[in-house]
Amino acid sequence: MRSLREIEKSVAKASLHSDDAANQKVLNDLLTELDQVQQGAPNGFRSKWSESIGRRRLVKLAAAAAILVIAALLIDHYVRPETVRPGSELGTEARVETVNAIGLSLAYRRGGMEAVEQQYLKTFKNSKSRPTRLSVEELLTELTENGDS
Amino acid sequence: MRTGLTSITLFILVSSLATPCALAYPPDNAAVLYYKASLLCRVDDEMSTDLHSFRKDNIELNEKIKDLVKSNQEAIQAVLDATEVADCNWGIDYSRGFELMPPSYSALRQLSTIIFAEAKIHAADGDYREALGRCISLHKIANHINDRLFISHLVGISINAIAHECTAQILSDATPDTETLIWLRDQLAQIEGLPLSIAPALEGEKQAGAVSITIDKMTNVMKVGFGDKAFQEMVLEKVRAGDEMFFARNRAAWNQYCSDVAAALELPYPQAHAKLQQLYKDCETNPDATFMVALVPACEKICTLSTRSKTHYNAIMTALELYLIYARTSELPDALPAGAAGDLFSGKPFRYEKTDDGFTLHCQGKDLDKDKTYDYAFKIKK
Repeated sequence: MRSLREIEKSVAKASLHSDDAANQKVLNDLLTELDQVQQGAPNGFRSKWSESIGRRRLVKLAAAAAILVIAALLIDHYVRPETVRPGSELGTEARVETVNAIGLSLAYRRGGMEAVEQQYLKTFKNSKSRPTRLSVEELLTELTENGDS
Repeated sequence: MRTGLTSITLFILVSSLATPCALAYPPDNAAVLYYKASLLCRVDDEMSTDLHSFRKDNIELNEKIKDLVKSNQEAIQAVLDATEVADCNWGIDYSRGFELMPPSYSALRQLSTIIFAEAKIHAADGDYREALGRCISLHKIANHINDRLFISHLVGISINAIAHECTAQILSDATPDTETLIWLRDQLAQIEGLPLSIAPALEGEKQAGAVSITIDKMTNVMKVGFGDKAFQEMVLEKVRAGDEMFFARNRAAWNQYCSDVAAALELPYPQAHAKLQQLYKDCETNPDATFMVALVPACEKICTLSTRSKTHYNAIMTALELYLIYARTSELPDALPAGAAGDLFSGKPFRYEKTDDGFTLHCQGKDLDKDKTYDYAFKIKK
């Protein structure tokens, strides 16, 4: 059995992942339920749970969950480095034009070859277009599903 | 009738000869293989850092580096095949002036570092000829990259530096062998354009200026890659306010500047450095040199890097002569062989010093940007 300290370390190192769509769906569901509970509208959810959990407690729970999800979305939106928002500083820097002749030349002027490397990194960091493996079966399936063949 | 038959026979003959040529490998353009290698190359961030540390001799050769080289064999092979092809057309559209899109130099540098690692693996296995062959390949990559841009020249120099470091380390690790040393000397001498010349880059930049310094193009050009936004905005204001005459004067000034830089680079290093510094200062006070001040990299620094690269090459060539003497006589000479290539910082021969484990070639002139002199130490395995 692991010690409490080990568990603490594991938790501290653990990273939580969720995508935008999942977060948004959880948030929408919770807000809908919150709305329904506040209005006292009868539905399956309420009738099933209102007997065992008090109405006020449910409202508090849903509100807390909603706040947590909103916080997660905000953190995800503003902190995640891969996110390139049009018009933002990173978005501007990451345009492919920044690695044209003059872009690289200016990068070199700013910080030598290291700055040139950084410029490439910023521009192509999010590029995941290269498939690691592609089989004939996968291609045939894709083409058949798309009705292209 | 007879003419018709002859024509058909000729057509069949030409077709039968042409088909195998079209399918021949390697292709007659090295760039195709470099692009292929760039697509095949796989290095994550952690390994990229390890490779850099390995190259700088901060970490030893380890299993992770060996695995990385192994997993990139397809990419390495494509690059090695490319280095055997004389012509290299990167498909760059030079008519776009400053806005042209060069190949991914970052990927090519990454590949060069992997080839450096592979050379070291061969050396660790005792296969010095193969290891030195990789150094030759690195020089050929640099030569292919050295194109019509300042940045391509600088990337070429940086890959040459990898090749020089690699060669020096392998020569220090191997027992001097006459046959291998003569082979290496011949191989290096055969590489056209080595040491790299800055002339194509200067000519290319001159022509790029002629294309891009116009009302239509400069607004776009000036929007890219500035760290200093206030400075960028100031230049953009001048672009917006400029008339045809303003741009014509700037084009002429750019053209003159490139010619003056080319002439300065023909001078010995100390004079060239001083002249280039003066040219840049003149730009700052020249009202027709708005774009030079904004866009030109410090040419005296390029001159220093170019001189350093050529000097390192000369040190390797001189060291080869000394290794050859040692391989033949089991002794190092007391003085450098006559006609040995010298230090281009001073224009004088290297100062030669025998050490406990080999020899050192000392530059007699300084790198004026860093205010330091370079020494090239070589060991002799006995």
